[in-house]
Amino acid sequence: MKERAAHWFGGYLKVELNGRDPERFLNLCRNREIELWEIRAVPGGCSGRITVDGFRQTKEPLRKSGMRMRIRKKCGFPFFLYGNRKRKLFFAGLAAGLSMLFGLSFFIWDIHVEGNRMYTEDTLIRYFDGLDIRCGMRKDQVDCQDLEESIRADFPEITWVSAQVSGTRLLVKIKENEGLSQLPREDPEPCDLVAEKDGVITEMIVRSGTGLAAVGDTVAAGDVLISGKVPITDDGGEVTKEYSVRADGDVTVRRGETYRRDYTGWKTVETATGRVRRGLYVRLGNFALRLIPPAEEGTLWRTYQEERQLRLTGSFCLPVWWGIIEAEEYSSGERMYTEEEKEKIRQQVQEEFEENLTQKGVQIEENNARIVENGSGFSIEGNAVLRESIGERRRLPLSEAPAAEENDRTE
Amino acid sequence: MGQRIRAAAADRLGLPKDAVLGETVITVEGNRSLVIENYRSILFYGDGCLKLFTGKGRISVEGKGLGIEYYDGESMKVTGRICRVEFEERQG
Repeated sequence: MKERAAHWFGGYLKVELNGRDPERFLNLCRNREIELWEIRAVPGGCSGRITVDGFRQTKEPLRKSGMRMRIRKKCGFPFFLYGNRKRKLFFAGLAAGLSMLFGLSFFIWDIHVEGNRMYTEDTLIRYFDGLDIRCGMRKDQVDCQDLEESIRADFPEITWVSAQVSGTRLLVKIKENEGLSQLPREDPEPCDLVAEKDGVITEMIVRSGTGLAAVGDTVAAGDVLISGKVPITDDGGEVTKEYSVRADGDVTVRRGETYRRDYTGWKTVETATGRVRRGLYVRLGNFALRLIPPAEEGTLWRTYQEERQLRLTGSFCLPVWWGIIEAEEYSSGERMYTEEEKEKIRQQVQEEFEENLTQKGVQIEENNARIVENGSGFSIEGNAVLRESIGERRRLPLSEAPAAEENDRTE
Repeated sequence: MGQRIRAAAADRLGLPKDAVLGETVITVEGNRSLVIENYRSILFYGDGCLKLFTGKGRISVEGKGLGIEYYDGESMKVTGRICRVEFEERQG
């Protein structure tokens, strides 16, 4: 490839050789380091390609070998320039294009962020915009060091950042902290553990506090499961002192839950007619042009469009975006749901319900869903038996919650 | 004698023979292309046959539509439909 480009830029000739001793000519050229390539045997001799410099040195080899050389075609850049020497406007356009590219190379035309998981590229680009770093700005105005420091200061989850300008592209590589940046701080105030849902307790472990419920008990939302008050009784069973602690423990209940989703009996069906319109999308900065044949009135079309940035090399991006527009015609209609579709919806609703709860760590013992027809449509009704961990903290009233140390002192 | 010593030394020391003894190296890619290194000169070139002279004899490449993709003082690349490569040792 490199050699081909070198041959093209230097110019070369397609030649035909006729005579009595082509082998001697080839050997003489080899000894004089005259470059000949793509040699083919033709009746009465051979054809090949030779550089312009090589051609000038072939006088002696031709004479010695008794060969004659005929030029078939002149190829390459010098001959192209010579052939188009009268097309001044073409060269003026070429020069203008090259100068424009040269001018564009002083600006940033693409900002690319790599390694982000928690922060989206949009979030970071909006942040850069706030720092006056945006597409279209001059490259020498981008202070990468300053940008890195700002990112590190404003995004504590970003532990490593590297910003560099490559070509017309600003490349920002980041690494986010994979662990927790801050440990959740527990409220040290005394509190009760109360039920936030109804159910029957199946398992219960008390770590601190006094258990007010037991396995097998039915609890309602708002009932205290573990109290934050720890009484100290004397031999007679009388409460002599009461400590307030932060109630802690694991309480699992079995409870039932119902769910319902309603559907109208009609389903909107969009059917592709098979007609497609294709067009081109070009955007220059903020000016966009969509070239696509117009649609007939009263027809429905679904349009897809993609946008790509024009780039000369991997990092030399230009402020030109382009893409293909594809529009598919469709007709829209309504029909009744079939029994199979209803069954499919039932399964889907049931699976979605299970998935939502499983993600929250809830165990599902039973899950049944059925299709219930009503006048205008149908609904999916389900009931499930769940086993889940409950308990939310509720602070003890201030008058009831003196700290344990204070109790000791007052005693 | 010198040649034999050099061959033995190349064998023992594991040196490349093309560098030490000037042996011809032929690299064949399927039957479509062939690169010959360390040849001396072209003896005959035609559409169906190419004969080269090496230090130790002749190499003949036979086939159809044979072309010389490039050639220089070191190597030559032959393309076309290659059917046969033959060695002819120099007498004496």
